Amino acid sequence: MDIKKLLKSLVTYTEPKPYHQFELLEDEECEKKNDPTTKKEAEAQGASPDNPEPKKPLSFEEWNRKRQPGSKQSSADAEPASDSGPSDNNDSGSDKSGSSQDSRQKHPISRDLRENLATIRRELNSPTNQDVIIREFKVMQKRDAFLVLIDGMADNETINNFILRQLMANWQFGQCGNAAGVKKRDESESGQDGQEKGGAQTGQNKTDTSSVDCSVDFIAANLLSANQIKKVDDIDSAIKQVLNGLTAIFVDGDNACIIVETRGYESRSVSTPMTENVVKGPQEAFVENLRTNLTLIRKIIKSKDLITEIIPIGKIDQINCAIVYMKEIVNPKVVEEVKRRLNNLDIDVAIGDGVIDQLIEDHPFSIFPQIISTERPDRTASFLMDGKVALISDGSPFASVVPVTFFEMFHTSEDSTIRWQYGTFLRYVRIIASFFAVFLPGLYIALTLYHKEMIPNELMVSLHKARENVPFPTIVEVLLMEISFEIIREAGIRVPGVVGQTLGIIGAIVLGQAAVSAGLVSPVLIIIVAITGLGSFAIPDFSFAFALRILRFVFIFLGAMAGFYGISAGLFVFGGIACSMKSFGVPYLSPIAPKTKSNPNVINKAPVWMQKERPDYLNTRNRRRGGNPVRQWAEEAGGEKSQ
Amino acid sequence: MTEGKFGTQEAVWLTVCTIVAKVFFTSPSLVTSILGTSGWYMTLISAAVAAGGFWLTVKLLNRFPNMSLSEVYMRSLGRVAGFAFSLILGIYLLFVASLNIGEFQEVLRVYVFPNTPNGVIILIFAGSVLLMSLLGLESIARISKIIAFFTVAGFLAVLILSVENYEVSNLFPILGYGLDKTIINGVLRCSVYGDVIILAIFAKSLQGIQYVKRAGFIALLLSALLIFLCLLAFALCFPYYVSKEITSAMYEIATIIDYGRFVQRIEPVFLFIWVTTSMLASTTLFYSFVRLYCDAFRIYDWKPIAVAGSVILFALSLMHRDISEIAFAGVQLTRMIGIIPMFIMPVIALFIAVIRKKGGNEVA
Repeated sequence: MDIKKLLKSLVTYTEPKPYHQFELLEDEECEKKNDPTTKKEAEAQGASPDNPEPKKPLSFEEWNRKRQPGSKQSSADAEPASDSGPSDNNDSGSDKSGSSQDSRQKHPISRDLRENLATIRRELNSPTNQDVIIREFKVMQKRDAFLVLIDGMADNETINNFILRQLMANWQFGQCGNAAGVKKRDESESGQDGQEKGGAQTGQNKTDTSSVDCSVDFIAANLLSANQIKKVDDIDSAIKQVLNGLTAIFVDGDNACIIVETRGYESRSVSTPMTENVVKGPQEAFVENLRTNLTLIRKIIKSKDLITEIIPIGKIDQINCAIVYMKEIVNPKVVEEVKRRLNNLDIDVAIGDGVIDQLIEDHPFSIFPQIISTERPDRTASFLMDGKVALISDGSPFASVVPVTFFEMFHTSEDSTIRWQYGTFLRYVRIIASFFAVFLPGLYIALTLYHKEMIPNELMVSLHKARENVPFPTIVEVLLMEISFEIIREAGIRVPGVVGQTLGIIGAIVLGQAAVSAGLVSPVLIIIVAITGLGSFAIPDFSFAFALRILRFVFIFLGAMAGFYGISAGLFVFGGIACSMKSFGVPYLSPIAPKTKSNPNVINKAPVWMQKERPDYLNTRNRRRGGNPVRQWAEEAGGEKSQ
Repeated sequence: MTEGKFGTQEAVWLTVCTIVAKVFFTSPSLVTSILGTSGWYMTLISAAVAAGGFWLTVKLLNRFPNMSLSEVYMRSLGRVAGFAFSLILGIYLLFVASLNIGEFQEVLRVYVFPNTPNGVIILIFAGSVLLMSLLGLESIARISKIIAFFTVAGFLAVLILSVENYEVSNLFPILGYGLDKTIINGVLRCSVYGDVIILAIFAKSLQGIQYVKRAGFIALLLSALLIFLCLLAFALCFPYYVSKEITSAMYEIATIIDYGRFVQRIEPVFLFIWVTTSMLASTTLFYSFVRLYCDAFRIYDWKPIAVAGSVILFALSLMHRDISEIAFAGVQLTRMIGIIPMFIMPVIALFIAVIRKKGGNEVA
């Protein structure tokens, strides 16, 4: 910033701009849905409370017409699109109508194939760009056509066997556009029986092939044997799809093209989680392929209410970002807010979920993460069933979940798969580990500098003996070791494979031992740093662990500056900051501050059958997770005492 | 000036922490020097009087539903008198906040940082108060709930661990310097619980007057219980002639805890709850001042006022010669005159509202 402007801003007053912060307040709709009386009334009137009015599905043509830029209902009617491939980008295109990203004029497809070919070549920089494949051919050996794809992104086998072979074959028809009468000439001529049965018909076909309908509608209905196809009428949409690995087929005389799902690029196969390992529980992790990731979730939640909407992010490189939620559980306002934020991003490129997370989070300057990033499909599914929204970006093996709370940073998927006593124990271990990770070095400094009276005499003597050869003040000693540890840690991650792990272990041992032998640090400090490091590794969430690692240095300085007083002041301020935060409208320290109803699953974890309700702070459409009692067999057997 | 919303629990703990923070400082020894050995139950009389005063304040709020105290003053007393009442209460709260900080700084100097300059201690404190104030009422209310867990746990831990030092004979003579003195001081010192008025100042942030009423009475009950237990433990631990000389009652009680080689001298641990509770109390009072000031002058943007106010707070906190001046000239004075802005002014407003037939929508 210009220094003049900075100085001016310090001495001049400007009215604060009204800032609207999204808040997830009690919602009448959700309240009504959870109200048993309202439910009964609605049911009595013959309507299902969960599905108030069944929506009539739109026909193919109607749908396309509604999505024209002039249509008022374009985004409203773009009902949560299924995750069917070819429709992805166009759905979002309609969502984005009016946004700055899609303000460019659309190029309609011409009826003149040559003109379309020239436009495609110009837009895709062909033949300079040699990844672009344009294949010209004749449909049914009659009508000129071409298809366009990106080499490597599309699956060659699908294109050769199920598109080109189908389109280039010499078909004969009973009636134009009548699929029932379509037969391949060779087949019809090869079988005697066939000739006998349909002799008259075949004869008729042979005489009239010039009037064959080769429109894209006919091709889509009769010739292409691909499972996902879509008709689009503008070049820009077609190019977007092609860049995603789909194939566009243009036919002469038609002002639309067919987009066929042919994605077939190389991707990593599903493997075990790298950062969220568990002993008990599923061992699958997300990969870089969006389709695969969505399938992994669907494999767990086999429900019709699992909705996937896809929004492309970025002006130049449009990364597909899937919004996944449970329609009958999630609060619709959260979904709307997520879509609003994603649709209002004006950025060239947002590679990966990490960048998108940073673009949509509520408090970008806060040190605490407000979005949970997980690589586990089972954990994502669990969040979805709680009423949260997951964002999965193409090319990223992580799902970002919103809204989240502070206490969920200590949870892992293993907490649910093991018995509640063990889960609770593990959470306490993690909380203690987090405490050590943040406060231990600061407390050590505060104790040795300001509060010596607290240290028992014997311990004090041994501490002093250990430190007598160390020439540095305690703060320098601690910083030296902490920074060395962070360097070893970073180096260990960057160095590949086994060498990295070895470097970490050997580095820590050798460095620590050498530092003690050289009299640079005291042995006690090695123990402090080791426990701190171990503590930071025990924090399940990677971003949260980062936040605590940085906070550790703040508390080291505060402890050195003012002992326990400084640390208390830091706690007060950072606690206040955490209290002031919201994650997509949900207070960060819910359900403790503010107090809201929740399952006994915040720090202590109660048995699964006691967790009957979804968290109140999410204000979900369907609060109940299970019946009352959940374990009905126990009641049948004489009453469930524990409930 | 827009405010956030908070629930009854947050309101209760915010008030409890603000009231209870006083026992960390010189107040218990002041009470002992004035009343001898009867100080521990004198606080119950103060709490009862404060409850009466708060009941009248709620009556006033009932006449003007959905209004904060400053708005009620404006409606009840008129623009000029309402402005004066709001400003007097605001300045009083700012003064109390600065006294809290001054007391805190002096006590900290006595026990922990004898060589640290006053300015440094106060700067850290005032800085934290400002940062927290800038985060807004919702955040203050929410953190109060978290701090309250640790404060109550710390209180109870200190009281339980010091059981071995309790000496029942220290309570005698049970009437102290005389029952009359105990009752009079109990009534006058009701301003100890006067901080409950913050609920009236932030009445609009709660869901309704009935919640203000409920939160206020629960807070008074809990505060009275905690202060009573603290004063009782203090009286049990030290003979009254020693108690008079002690700067910080709770800190001293924590100091004498001794359960072997490792569970001893745990007062620095106690420092955490002491610091955070004191900061919370000062933040609440300071934020109340900012709120009243902005309401009085009809200022929408409160953040610049908070920044400027924090400079005044810092300066006021530095303006004392020593701990005696703070304790006898400052704290004792505010305890005696505090009843006026905390309880008498709302009663006057209620009286005038009745005479002028202002308001009158009985809700609760």
